[in-house]
Amino acid sequence: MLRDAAFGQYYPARSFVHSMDPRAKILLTILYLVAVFLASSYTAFAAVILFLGLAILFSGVKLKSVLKSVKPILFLIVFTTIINLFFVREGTVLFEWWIFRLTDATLHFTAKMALRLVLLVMGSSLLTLTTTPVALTDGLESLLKPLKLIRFPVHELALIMSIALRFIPILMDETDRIIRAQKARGADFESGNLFRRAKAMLPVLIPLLVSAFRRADELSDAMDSRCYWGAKGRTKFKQLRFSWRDLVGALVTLVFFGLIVWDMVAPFFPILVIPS
Amino acid sequence: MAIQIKNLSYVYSPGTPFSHLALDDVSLEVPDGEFFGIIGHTGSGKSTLVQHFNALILPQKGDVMIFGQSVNNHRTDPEVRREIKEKKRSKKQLKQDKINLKALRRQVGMVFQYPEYQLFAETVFDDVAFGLKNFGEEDKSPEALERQVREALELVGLDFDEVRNRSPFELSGGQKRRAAIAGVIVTKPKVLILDEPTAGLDPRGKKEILALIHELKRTCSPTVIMICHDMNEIAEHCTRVAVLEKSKVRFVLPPEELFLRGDLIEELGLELPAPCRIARALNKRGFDLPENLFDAASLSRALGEALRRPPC
Ligand SMILES: Nc1ncnc2c1ncn2[C@@H]1O[C@H](COP(=O)(O)OP(=O)(O)OP(=O)(O)O)[C@@H](O)[C@H]1O
Ligand SMILES: [Mg+2]
Repeated sequence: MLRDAAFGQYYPARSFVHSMDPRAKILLTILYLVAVFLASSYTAFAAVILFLGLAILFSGVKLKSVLKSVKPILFLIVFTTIINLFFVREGTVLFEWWIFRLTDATLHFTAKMALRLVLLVMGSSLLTLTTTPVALTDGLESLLKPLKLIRFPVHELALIMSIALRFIPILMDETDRIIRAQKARGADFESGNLFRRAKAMLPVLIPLLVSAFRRADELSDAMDSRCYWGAKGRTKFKQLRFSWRDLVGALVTLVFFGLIVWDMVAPFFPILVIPS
Repeated sequence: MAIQIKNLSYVYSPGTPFSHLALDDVSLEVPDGEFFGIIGHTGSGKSTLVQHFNALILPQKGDVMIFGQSVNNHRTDPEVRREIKEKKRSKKQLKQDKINLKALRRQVGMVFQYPEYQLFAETVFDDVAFGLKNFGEEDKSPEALERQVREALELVGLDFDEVRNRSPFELSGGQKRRAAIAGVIVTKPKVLILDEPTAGLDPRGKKEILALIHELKRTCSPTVIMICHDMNEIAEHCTRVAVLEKSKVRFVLPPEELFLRGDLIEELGLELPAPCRIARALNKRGFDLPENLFDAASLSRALGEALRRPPC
């Protein structure tokens, strides 16, 4: 089923991370992403992994579900790994053959790169796994509010985003249904070369497009008939509120972030290095 | 025997928080020549069940036999699995298994709910011919193709010369549905499955589609399996009915017997045909009418007799 493949889809559970405020989660995720980029030593990576492990532990999401989100970018990881093996030239040579040269620097660089990609994807998918699309867009809208001062259409952007997110599973189901309907008429999506397979998708893509437009029409009619009028004078039923959980989450994240920054700048300020 | 189902179970998204048992140990038999009805509350697993009938969904547990041939293919059959492991079965043979799946699908035509949403081709002709081309007809000449498409379109009551070059998206709702049905029956499947064929049509459109299904049963697909929400339609057309509730088959009965168990039907949240309900209501007020009446004529006859009888 296609539905199983939808990566980072909300994972319903009751947990510490689930009940955090979406704004806090968005901000802390951004901080986490920055930390992943800053991390340069293996100690720093260990800290990031420890933090991610803690976050997953307190989110009640199965580790398997988080790991699943790496699957779609596995190809990218393998690809960059191979590219790295060719292009990093410096370091002590371990192995050389024709144009290939494997050095210790290559190995370190490649390992860190792959680690970084995996951690990026896992961390950001934890956000979508523990936050409903509605909460996510609510949080984003609230965080972007200051941009209203420069007449940036924050509400409209948030609405577009929540509609898009809401439609992903619907369109997935629809695709699934159409694929099965065409299979019932003997369509074959599995055999033949790439070109033939792409062509075989046509009987799926056209009805899908038609139905997406139909749905968009119906949705806009429905919004009109409920007197939707944009952001002006609109109030929210669910008010976002920070709680102690957000404070705890922020403190933990900041401690880890501080560790990683320290780990990065310490070599430049010998005074900071703990004498061993 | 057209379709045979043995101890079939099916779980959607197993092993996730969304997992859902859609079929629970279902066994069924549909002999050749039947007009088989399937009824049940929304979400009871009807669509999941019928998609097993033409191997669109492969059984997770249990077996599906189509004209005596099991759909349990290389992936699920433990015997075959062992053979693959021991390299007794080659890749080529696996490919043949796949073609067999296609041959099975050819024998069992499937009209999905709202089939008009799967139209895609530029012209009605191309859309109807899609299945024909896919199933690799023996006779591939353009004349044969045209003859078969013409037959199918005329069978569903569309004028071949008028619609053949029109875009399927320009047709009216009812015409679209007919064109989509033509795209399924063009390969002359021996079993025709329809998932709520009358959904979203007006009463007259419903009658026409049901008449069409009878016509199809007579001329091209002798076995018909129909999912339906409307008890009146079930009562009028089906020879046997399976009632699904919460992923299980509760009973399989001919309509006359089914409606004798009115209490049970209502308990399952289904609505009895109108004449049945009238008879039951009258009986509560002291009448003594048979309760398996499901068309207006037999109800009025029974009522006439009851009124003529001297009061006791
Ligand atoms: N692709 C899917 N992924 C997960 N669950 C599904 C999927 N398709 C159906 N289900 C679930 O399986 C159950 C049975 O679905 P099914 O479509 O067979 O019901 P149905 O009897 O045909 O209902 P309806 O009368 O509404 O068409 C439903 O509860 C549905 O939510
Ligand atoms: Mg259904």
